[in-house]
Amino acid sequence: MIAIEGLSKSYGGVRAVEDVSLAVAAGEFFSLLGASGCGKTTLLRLIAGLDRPDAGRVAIDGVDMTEAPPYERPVNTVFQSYALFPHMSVRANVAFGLKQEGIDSAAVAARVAQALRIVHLEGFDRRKPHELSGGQKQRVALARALVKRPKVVLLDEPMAALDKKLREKTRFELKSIQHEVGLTFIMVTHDQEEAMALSDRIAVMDAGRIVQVGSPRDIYDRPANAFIAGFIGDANFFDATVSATANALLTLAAPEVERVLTAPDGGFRVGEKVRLMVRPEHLALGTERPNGNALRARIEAIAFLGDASAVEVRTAAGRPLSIRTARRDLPPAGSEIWVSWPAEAGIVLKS
Amino acid sequence: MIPSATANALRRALVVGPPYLWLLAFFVAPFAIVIAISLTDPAVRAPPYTPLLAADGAFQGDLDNYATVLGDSYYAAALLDSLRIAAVATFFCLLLGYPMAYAIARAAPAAKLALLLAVMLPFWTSFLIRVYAWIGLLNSNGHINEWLIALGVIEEPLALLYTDFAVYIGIVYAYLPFMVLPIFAVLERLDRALLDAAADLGARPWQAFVRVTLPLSFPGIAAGSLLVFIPAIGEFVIPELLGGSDFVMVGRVLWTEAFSNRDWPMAAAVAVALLVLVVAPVAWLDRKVAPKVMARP
Repeated sequence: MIAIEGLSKSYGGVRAVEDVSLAVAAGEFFSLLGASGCGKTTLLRLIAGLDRPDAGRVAIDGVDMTEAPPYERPVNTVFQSYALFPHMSVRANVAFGLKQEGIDSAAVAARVAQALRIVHLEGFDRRKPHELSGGQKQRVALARALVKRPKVVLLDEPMAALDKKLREKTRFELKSIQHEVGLTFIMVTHDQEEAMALSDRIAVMDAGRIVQVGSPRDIYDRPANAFIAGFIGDANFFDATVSATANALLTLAAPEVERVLTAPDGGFRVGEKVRLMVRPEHLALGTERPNGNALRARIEAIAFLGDASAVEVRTAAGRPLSIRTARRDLPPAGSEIWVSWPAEAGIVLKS
Repeated sequence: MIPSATANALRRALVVGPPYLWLLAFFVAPFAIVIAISLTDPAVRAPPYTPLLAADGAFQGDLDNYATVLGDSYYAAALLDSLRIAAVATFFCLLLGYPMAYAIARAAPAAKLALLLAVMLPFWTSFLIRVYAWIGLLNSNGHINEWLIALGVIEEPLALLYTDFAVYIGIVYAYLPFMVLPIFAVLERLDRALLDAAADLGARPWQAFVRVTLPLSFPGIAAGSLLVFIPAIGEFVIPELLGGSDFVMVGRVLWTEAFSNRDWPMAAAVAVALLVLVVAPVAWLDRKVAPKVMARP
């Protein structure tokens, strides 16, 4: 649906987007994920046509749109600030784009009503934006973008202005709305949880470049580098050296681990310096020394989260590790314990 | 300590009171005096009008002066001419001022400051001197005629000074900043994301202007128009110095009645009629138009 090739854009010498190529399929929920200033919003504006690229091409549904102004692109945006027209009612806001197409008023009314129904805002059509809550404003912005039946809906941090509870509720709704209307969604977000929960695929951006594209599972389980591993979810890292490769398993030597670690192969050479990453939920803790990968540590703090506990431990070598466990029978803080993990839970990354 | 209701009321009165006292002392009271004078007759004494109450306390005011203002075509014409001139001048101020305000609001930050300064710079020079300068420009042997003759556009000097045209130029020139600044203030605050949204929804730049920018700048247009229109109606100096004798603005009438004819009651009646004429459009804007277009942020 969207094909981007070699897209670059600088602002006053700062490269906001650098040589980005991307393909988004029809009906896909695609997220651009990154920290603030990584260029994700600029990339979205380049797709919308609100900014012009310095180099590269943007094609939408097979048509080259690189030079097309925003008002000629089959793309509508939900802006971060929502950008609702303050002098217009909810109905007039949603109808704005349809009137622009010169559709007759009966059809406009029907489509506006339908769009408001999809976002569960029936009965709000006469309100002015200042009479709406943040969540309602966001729905109006969504209805306004959906009502034109664009080929692609762009969402710029659509949940950023909502409080946590509402954000989680809206997440599911957004997903079901996307399913209902069957449109391609591209969402910009800095919230990895949000990106994981909603997206079919995620592109992780850093410093204007796309560093990894994949499904949420792919990116979580097989991050391309330590930056992504740390950005998507929590991660524990160990510095290690490859000591052997055999049977598609890698054997590592790490100074602080008593035993040799094994992890799935990733095309590494013997002697290469690597980083081993283990997710907090893959670390287990116990009082007996288990078989396999294990190291000695002391419990520093336990935070009970309801469904699980977050345990902070420190290894004998002084490295802090985060563990997430559903166990309730945890030894108290200060206890000496064994931390272990299965070989396949260790992700080996380039150092 | 929980403040008692009376202490609260007192504190509130202290905050709200001064502006009300100010209005009472410097607007309501003088205006009441003007209304009172407008009901009396002129007399050769000091002050030069008959007392509103006779020696025995009987009320002896009447509405004769208002009958004259409404009935005598001299006063009606002066009021109507003033309205017409103020309205036309306001229109041209808007026509010139809106694009200026728009350009300043869109200029780069450094240029914006310079342009704003340029708009306000004339205030550093005396108003009277600036109006006199126009005499030098518009005179039949003034600079504008000189240039036009030198360029071969005309052969004989045009009669520019002492015409309606000169009065319009004077008023538009003098009041333009009052139109530009409020419109600029509104356009400056306009959220650029709204224009992005309009373009995103299919509006070409001019459509976005008509459907978004223009309606949202209406508070500035209204404020600027009132700031130009109201003082322009009562303008005295500009028509006096630049205008011809073919029409009389109400400011001149007031001056003549009060100082030449020493007819204070008549002057007071004209002043009250003028105020009603001015308040009417403001009240209309405030009640009918403002609630429709003013959007709370």
